[in-house]
Parts: sequence; structure tokens; C-alpha cells
Amino acid sequence: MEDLNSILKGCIVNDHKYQKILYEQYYNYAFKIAFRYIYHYDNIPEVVNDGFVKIFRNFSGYIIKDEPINEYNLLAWIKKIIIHTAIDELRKNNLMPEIGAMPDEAWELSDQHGQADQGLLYKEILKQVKSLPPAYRAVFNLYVVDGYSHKEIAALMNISVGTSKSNLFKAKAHLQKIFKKDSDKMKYAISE
Amino acid sequence: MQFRNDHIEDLVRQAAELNPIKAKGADWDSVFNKLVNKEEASVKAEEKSKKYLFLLLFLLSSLLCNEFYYILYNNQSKANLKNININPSLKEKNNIGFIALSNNNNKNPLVKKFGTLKHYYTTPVYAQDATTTLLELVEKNIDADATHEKTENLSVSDVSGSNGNENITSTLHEDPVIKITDENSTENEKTKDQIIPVKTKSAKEKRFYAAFLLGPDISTVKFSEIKAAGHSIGITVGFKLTKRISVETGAFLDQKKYVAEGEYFKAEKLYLPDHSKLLNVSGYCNMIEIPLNIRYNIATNNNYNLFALAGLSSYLVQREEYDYQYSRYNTIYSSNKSYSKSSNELFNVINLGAGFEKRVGKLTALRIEPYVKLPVKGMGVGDMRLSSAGILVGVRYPFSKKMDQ
Repeated sequence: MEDLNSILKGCIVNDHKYQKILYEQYYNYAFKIAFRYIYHYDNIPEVVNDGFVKIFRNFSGYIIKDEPINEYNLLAWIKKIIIHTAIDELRKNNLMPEIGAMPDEAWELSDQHGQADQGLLYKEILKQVKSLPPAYRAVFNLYVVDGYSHKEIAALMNISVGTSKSNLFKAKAHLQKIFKKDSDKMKYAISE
Repeated sequence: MQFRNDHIEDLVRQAAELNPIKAKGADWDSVFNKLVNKEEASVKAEEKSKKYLFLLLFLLSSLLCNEFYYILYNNQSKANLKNININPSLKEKNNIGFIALSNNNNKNPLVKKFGTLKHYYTTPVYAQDATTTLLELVEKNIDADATHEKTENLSVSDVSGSNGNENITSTLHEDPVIKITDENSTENEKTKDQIIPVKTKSAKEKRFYAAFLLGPDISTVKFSEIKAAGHSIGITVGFKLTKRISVETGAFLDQKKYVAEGEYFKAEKLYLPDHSKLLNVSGYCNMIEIPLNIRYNIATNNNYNLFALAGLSSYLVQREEYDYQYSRYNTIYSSNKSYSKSSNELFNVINLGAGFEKRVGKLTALRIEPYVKLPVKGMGVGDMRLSSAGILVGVRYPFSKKMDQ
């Protein structure tokens, strides 16, 4: 098993062997990030792969630091590039609303009782977030989950700061409305 | 229960963190192919730009040589012209011939000897006083009748001061040093001729010459990445066919360093395992180069030569050493190999060059020669199409049989 430093050094010199190891180690992480932005489950691998191509193409500028900062940095960098790639993909499709259901086999549910319930809840929450219109969904995820500021979101999505704030407000209102309808389920989840 | 915004945000964050989605579609091959394709595309774009850069550099260096030559040539010509003074003691000097311009149709056979000078004296020159320079004379005679250039207008009746017929002719190379006598103005008035003494010199020049040259050599395979500069050092020997055209050959010890993409290197002699794909090769090659070039002097005078040359080179490959990487089942391996006297390549490279020579001693000349070498076919064990460029600097020395001008 190669340590992270060796992998990073290998990637910096474009060694395909180490690139493959890095890809395999962080594919799941990248996939889960892209999943929040990309509506269709089947389209996610392509976005993730494009993101990794960008990562490997730009690895020569990566600065290796000491552990554990090294991995935090790497995760943050992967996250940033995958988000940017996903946003590019959304913009390529002009942020058009999408339809279609998530296949059930896409979900990974725990066998343990408590975790299974929690898993169901999270699954439901993610489904609802994904059901938001792409522009709202992107702003909501960027602001709430990934910690971007409105200024950064505006720059990334090529919108105004006001539009970003407005989209966030509408996204939250939309989600509140949806969650209200299913309040019993939510109450149960929160009490857990 | 009323859900507040904070609750929603927290829940979404938790859901995102413990995202129960199954990741699918991990496909390293697809990423690998995209990476390789992008690399190829960028390499191709880079190659294209390098190709143009290569040609541009060559043209620029040739242009610079040309400009340099003409600046020096003009300066020297002006200096020569300004130094022309009327010398009353010309008759006392040896090795000076006097050309008299007159309207007499003298049938003296020596007139024919002066026929070779008509290139210089297309208009007659009339000296007015002892301080008149040739520049002024030329300006004054700018409208003179061009028919004066005819040799019939030259008379030998007023020619004096030469020791014999042989000394009267002048070398075409040389800027004529013309001096106008004014010792006896009444004599001039009497003859109404202008006497122009011409400094004469040996009319022979050596036909063989040799030059010792060395310089850096930059090589590239298909105009891809350039690794480092190699070098070229050797001797070239030339033979003057005419005043402007020469044939040059010689022997050079070349070391060429280069990097090649796997696709441009034939991997048969690397004996890679089955299902391997050569990714890149980096190495050097020591060779003996035997060029055969035709040289043409574009502009020439006593002190400077500007020339262009073209020809073909043959290579005797002495040693090749390569570090290479290859992939096999998506795993990268590195290795190296070396070869001795692997191949001899006859006339497989085109030479194009331009150069500049400046005389630095009585016989020796400093030579600067930028060049490009373009492959006609592959070279070495990898059958690579190796292009090179560089600049050779050295000295030239004439060493044998003389030629008449």
C-alpha cells in the first residue's frame, strides 16, 4: 500500500500508476460531491472522470505538505475541482430542470436498525434537495453544504450576489414547504 | 413541528456528510484515455508552434547576418571613399597603375587589359582640385553619360607608373583605391585627361580552404520537446568552383540529445514485452557527420562574405543511449538501453544554412554559420526523424592551390 506522499509525488510527475491509485482511493468521495449537483445518477461518473482529468492535468502545481494537512488539502482541492466541473456541466445544459427518478439500487442502506432509519431520512433529504431546480440546488449546496460565500457563488455561477441570495432563500422556502408535508417522518427522525 | 431554516441546513449537511449513495462507474481506463488524448492534443499544438518558431529563428538569424554584413560593408566603403586624397607623389610609388580617361580612341593593345575594370568605372571621373574626394566626384558625375564606361574611352597613352602589363588589372573583390594626380595641373589641362591610379594586387586567390567549426546543436524529434543542447565539432574543407560557388565537405563529431514520444520511435529493437506500449524515450546519440554542401556567396568583398549553403549529410552512428518508459496493462515501467555502431545513414538529412565570414588576419577569417538540418528519413535504432538547429562558429583558412580571378 502506497502512502499518500508517494502517491502525490507520483501524480506530480504524471506517473499513471500513482494517478490510478489516487483515482481509485478518492473516486467515492468525488462521486458523492458530484451527486449533490448532478441530477441524473448515470451522468455522475462522466462528471467525476472529467474532474479527475482536470486534477491530474494540474497536479504539477500541487504543493505537498505534512500530514494530516496533506490529506485535508487534497480533499479540499478534489472537492473544489469536482464542484467546478459539476457547475460547468449544469451551465452547459443552461441550468434546465431535469426529470427522472433515482434508481433504488443507487442507495446504500445500513442493515442496523437505527442507522437504517437515519439512512432513510438522509436519502429522503437528499432526494428533496435534488428535486430543487438546478439553479436553486446549486446555490443551496454551495452555500449550505460546501461553505461558499454569496460572492464566491456569484463569481462561480456568473450571477449577481443578489441572485445568489434570492436563489438560496427560494431554495430554503421550497425545502421547508416539502418537509412540512412530511412532518411526521421528520419529527421521528429528529427525536432519534 | 415548525422546521426552522437552521434545522434544514443542519439536516442537509448531515445527509451530505453521510451520503448513503453508492458510487458507480469508476473507470480508470476512460480517465487514462482522456489524459493521453489531451496530452497528445497539447503536444501536437506545441509541435506546431515549435515548428514555426524553429523556422522563424532560422530566418531571423539569417536576416541578422545579412544586416550585419551590409552595415559593415557600407561603413567600410564610406571609409575607403573618404580616405581618397589627391596624392602628388603618386608617380614615385610602385605598384600603382594610372588610368587615364580620354576621348582618344587609342588602339594600343593595353586598352583591352583595362576592359576588366569597366565594372568599377561606369562613369568618368574628373578631378577638379587637390582636395576633391571621390564621393564628391561621384556626385558631380552622377549624370555623366554611361557610354563612357566603354573601354574604347580608356587610353593607355596616359598610363604610367606600372611595371608591366600584368600589374595593371585589379581584383574584382577589392574596392579600388583610386588616387588622382594633381602634381602638374598644366599637364592635366594639356592632355585633358584625368589620371586615376589604381592600386593593384595579386590576381590570384587560393581555391582550397578549411574551417574548424564548433557550436551547440539543438535536436528535436517531430518538433516535440527539446531536452538539452548537444554539440557539433569538426572540420569542413571547401573547394572554390567559381568566385561565388564552392563545394564543402568535412567531418563533424556530433552529439545530439533529444526526447521522443513513443509513437515516433520504432520500438522493435527495444525488445519490449508483449502488449507493451512505448510512452516516451529520452537519450542521446554520438555520430560522425559527413556533410556535402554547395555554398553560394551572396555578397562578398575582401573583408566579408555572406553566404548560403545547402546540401546533404550522412551519419555514422557511433553510440546511442536511451531511457524509456512503456506501459503494460496500465502499469508504467522504466528501462534503458544502449547501442554501439547501430547504423550508417547515407544522405538522410538536408542541410540548410547561412553564414557570415569576416577576415581577421591576412588569410584567416572568422566564420559564423547558423543552420537547420531536416530529416529525409529516420535515423538510429528508433528510426527517428530528427531535426536539428544550431550555430557553428570557427575559423577558416585557405591552404592550397591558387585560382585566377
